[in-house]
Amino acid sequence: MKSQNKFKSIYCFTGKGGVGKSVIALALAHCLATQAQGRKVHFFSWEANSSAEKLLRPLGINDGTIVDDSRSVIEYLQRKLGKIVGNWIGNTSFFSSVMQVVPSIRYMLSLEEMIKSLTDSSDKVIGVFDAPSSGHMLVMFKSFESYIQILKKGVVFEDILHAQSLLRDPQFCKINLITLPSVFACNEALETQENLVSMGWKKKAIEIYLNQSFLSLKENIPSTQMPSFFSKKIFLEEKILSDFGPTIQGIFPYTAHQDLSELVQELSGMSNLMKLLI
Amino acid sequence: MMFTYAKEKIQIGNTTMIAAKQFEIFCGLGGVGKTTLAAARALHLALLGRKILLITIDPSRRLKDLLQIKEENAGKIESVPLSNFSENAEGFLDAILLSSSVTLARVIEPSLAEKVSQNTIIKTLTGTYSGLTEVLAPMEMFYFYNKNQYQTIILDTPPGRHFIDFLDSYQRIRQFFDQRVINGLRQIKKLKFNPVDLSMKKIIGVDPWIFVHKILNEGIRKILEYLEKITDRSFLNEFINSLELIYGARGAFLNLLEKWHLLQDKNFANWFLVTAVEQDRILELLELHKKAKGIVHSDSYLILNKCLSSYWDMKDGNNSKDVSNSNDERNNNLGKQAKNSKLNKIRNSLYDKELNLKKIALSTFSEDRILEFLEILEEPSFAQLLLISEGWNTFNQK
Repeated sequence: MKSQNKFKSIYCFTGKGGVGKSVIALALAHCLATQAQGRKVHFFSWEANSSAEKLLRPLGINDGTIVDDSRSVIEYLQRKLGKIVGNWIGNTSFFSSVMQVVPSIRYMLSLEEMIKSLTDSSDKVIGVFDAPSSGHMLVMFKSFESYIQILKKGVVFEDILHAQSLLRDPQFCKINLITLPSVFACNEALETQENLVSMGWKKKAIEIYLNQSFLSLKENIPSTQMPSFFSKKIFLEEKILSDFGPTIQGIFPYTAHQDLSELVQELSGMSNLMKLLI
Repeated sequence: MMFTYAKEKIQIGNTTMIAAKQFEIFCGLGGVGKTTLAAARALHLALLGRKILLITIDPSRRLKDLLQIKEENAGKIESVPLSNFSENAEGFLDAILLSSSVTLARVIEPSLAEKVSQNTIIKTLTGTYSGLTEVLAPMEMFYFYNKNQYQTIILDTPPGRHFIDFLDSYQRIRQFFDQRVINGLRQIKKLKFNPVDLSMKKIIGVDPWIFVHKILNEGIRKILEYLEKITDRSFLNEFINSLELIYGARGAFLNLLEKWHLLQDKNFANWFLVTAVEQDRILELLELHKKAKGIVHSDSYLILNKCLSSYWDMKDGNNSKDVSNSNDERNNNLGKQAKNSKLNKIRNSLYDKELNLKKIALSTFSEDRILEFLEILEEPSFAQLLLISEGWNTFNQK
């Protein structure tokens, strides 16, 4: 484990849908909760009622928040204009109907609130953010740029400018892009990285990890005994690695578990990989 | 455990299944293969001679990899020659990567188009990764429906909760264009938004409607006054301008939206809920399905994608589930009584996942509404897409 001051304030996990973002995010949160003494770990999730949410307590992760973007605008207005006024404006049909058709405002303000909760906390908190899949995560991050451009000045402008600068700061925020051994998932990871860089993120703050690798089976089973299904999988994976290899920071093996909690614990025990994620 | 497959059932029953409808919508959680199956369906129908338009609204736009569409062509109709897939095939498969700005330009009257394209707020908010694609998707679909060029319009939706955003778009757009909001805005415009001067005495008494407007208007003015405290006057003016411009296209939006009921009509729309064996998230999908009830009609299909059944070793285990005759070929595909314990564990886990998925599927959907697609162990290519599209044939036996 790196020394404590090396921890970032927030770790974002994204990637194509179904790549295992939540599981790896949970694994890191679990690992940090048990090893980063003196720090609290706060897990942020985007999906309500997800199986990840139910695991937080059993895994010893102190806090968990489901990011509810439908509330974020009202909460922001309440913070800035007072409870009564904020609530009133947020619930008028005029305001809410406009907000309904531009979800990017809600995404952005919920992220702003999340960052504020981390920076305001008197404890040393590490946030782990199980973000939406990469397309919608880019929508979230892009919205900062859009509204900075639109607003030009004012309180909201200052707030989102500040949040954006923290998100872009490699000391504050690290983005772990999870991918699978498939062309689609790897293309999406690379594109996400490029897009983030074009939006002002530092390339070194964005790392790509391959999940569900079957490669390690090769060490245990002679090729003559390898069932054809797995040989084919491994063959495809090796092709992926020859095409995308240099961009991949680490490889998580496929682990067979029926139970999500066991899976998370096994992954979080892979200390070399966890160190890389940090 | 014994399972009969939808596929098998159809073959035995000789029934015609999955007739193409005017609209076909693919939805599900992330990474289950929605885009691939939607493209395969489009290709399958196009090869049968139907005029097809395939629209993807997922901002990650994986469709461009599948059909080799360039990102800069987003929004435009891309006509992919069918000869790419099958040498002698004639005709095209049309596809669009939805672009908010292009859709907006299609929907609104040409007279407004230029003004709209110059408004900085609208311009910025309809750029790439704007987050508007879910709301604009029905507009795009119904625009092309009204053009009457396509026999089937296939929609590839974004994952999970963003699919719900798409389902909500009908309500959201209608709310947005609520007449009362517009009346209020008109008054603001007339009076020129001026937060300091709230006096409207001149108007009261002239027309009772204006009094109503005044109240609404004052509400909105009050909101704008507060918003000015945290934003900026010139922004708010531009904001009101942008709303006014969009409200100018209200008629066009609401006209298109009138077609929404077609999506709820069994005779006009097929809904495909997609899940994949490798993920244990069918419960989350069914939850999504529940939320979508009332919009997604009861006659929808559940697709189990990436099934491994063709790789199972028939002689190993107690299952009697495979319907194929080519057992010999399949023996050892997944390893007959593999000696390695690690391998056995992975194998069993994959096997159990698939069994479990099918069990849950059958408890919620009737057999003839469950479709299976096999895991394809190849890199994506035109040839692969053709192969997957043939999977749709199996369900189409007459």
